[in-house]
Amino acid sequence: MSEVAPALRVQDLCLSFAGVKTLQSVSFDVPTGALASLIGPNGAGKTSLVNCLTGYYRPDSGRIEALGRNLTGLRPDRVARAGIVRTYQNVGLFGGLSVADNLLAGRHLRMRSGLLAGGLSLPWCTREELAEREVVEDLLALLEIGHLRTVPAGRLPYGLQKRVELGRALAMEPALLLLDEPMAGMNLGEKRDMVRLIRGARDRGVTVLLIEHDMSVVMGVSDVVAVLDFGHLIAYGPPDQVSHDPAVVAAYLGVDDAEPVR
Amino acid sequence: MNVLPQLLLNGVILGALYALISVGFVLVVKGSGVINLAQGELVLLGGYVTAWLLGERGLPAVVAVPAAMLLMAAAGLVVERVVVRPLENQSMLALLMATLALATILQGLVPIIFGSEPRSIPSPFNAAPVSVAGLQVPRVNVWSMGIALAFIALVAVFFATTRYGLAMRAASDHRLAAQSLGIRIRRVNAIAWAIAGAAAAFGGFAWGSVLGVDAGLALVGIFVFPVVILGGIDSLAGVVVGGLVVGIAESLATWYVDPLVGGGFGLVAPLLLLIVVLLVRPYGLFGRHEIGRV
Repeated sequence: MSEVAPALRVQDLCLSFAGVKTLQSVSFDVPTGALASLIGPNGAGKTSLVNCLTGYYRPDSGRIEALGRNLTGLRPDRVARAGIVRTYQNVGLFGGLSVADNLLAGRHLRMRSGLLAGGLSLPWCTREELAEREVVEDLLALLEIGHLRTVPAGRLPYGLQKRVELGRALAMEPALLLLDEPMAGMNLGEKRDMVRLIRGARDRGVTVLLIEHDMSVVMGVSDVVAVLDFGHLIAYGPPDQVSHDPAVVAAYLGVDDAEPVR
Repeated sequence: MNVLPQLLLNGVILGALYALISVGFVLVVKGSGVINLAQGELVLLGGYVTAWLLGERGLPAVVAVPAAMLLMAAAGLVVERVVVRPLENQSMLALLMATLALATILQGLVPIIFGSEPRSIPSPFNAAPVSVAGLQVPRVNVWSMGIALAFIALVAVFFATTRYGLAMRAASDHRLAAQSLGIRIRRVNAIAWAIAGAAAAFGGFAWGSVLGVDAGLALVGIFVFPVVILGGIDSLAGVVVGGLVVGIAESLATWYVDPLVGGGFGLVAPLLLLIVVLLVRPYGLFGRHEIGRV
């Protein structure tokens, strides 16, 4: 698609659980700087794919390359260290920690001070902590959740939890951001806000892979769309092309006389 | 003479020491999510190590006690590496049983290494008791209480303000998510066990000074449970309050009830308290009240 190497390249990825083939030879690229979407009906294997990409599942075969590195089989914390950050479909926030602490935890890798220095509150650590607190405050402002900073994240309504989770992911300054159904269970207004925030991240140079089962959400915003159905990649391309693809229409609406989805 | 103030003061001192060994337990729960049934045995080992350094090697207390804490921190690291890490993704129950096995192994191992003779910890302090507001308290108890509370405060500050403290809180809250932030769960576990070991060493010193060091020292581990259940299993502030409540309950019950029942009720009272708390506030006084959502 472009001359630059893709931010993410998935090649022939296969994954099965006790004989159930969850992913079958899935291959696709996410171009650097793009907002790509991975869609598919429930049970298509979307989250399994994300779990492979982030090291929670080990694929049976195939290869995952991101940001010029081979990620296949790396541990989750190493994947994070490589600059690949994810959010969770069913919210992976630290429910007992305040919103600000959740974001600050996202700064873990960006903080330098070691165990001992940090434990002794040496002057340069205090300075670092102040700088980190400022980063967190900026993010709170960006996400319009500044007034919630001291609230335990677990007490927030679902839509706001999703937003905090996006904030925590952004706090890590990822190069590649994997968002697993960030808009599931949201009302229309919340979805619009979320789309705006995700586009904002892309515009600041983060490559985004958005996982979603609702096609209408992604068609307007994505640069490129990949469609997964029963573990197979059935379509890949610009949104216009994908939404008219007969295989995609069939997967979403059944086979007979389907209108193209918009 | 009114005996109540003296009983309360004794209870507070006792409570601070209960809180100290419970801190190790709470840290392991917070940091690595493991219910450690061997905390009492770690205290036992810590007591023997301290008695050995102080008595046989004849080191001064300012060297021996920190050295014992370092050695026990290392022992904590070994436990994490040998017992906890191989069971990384196993069920809670498997880990629970593993710590129970560890407790049994330590009970057998300690007499093999140090012999079964009871030892005393030579007191580094002047034998003359301190006089606090007209009450007499052994000097070693006052110092132990002070150091115990300082240790707990230090741990609390570490948790609240440092990068690894935050990483530990995050890991205990949601392990998967913590990993995806690049937090190394293994390192977090190791830190928790090292601090638990150090706390056990100081607990062994403080309790050993009072009770003497023999196999019975491991029994103080039982009182970790009323303390942490009272205080909430993941709260450091709760540990202090839980410790004080248990200490005072034991002190009062020993004086007022023991003569009536012929002795031993002081040790039963905290456990009765434990049952009552479980019935009334199962998440403890300070523990997080889980909110259910439909």
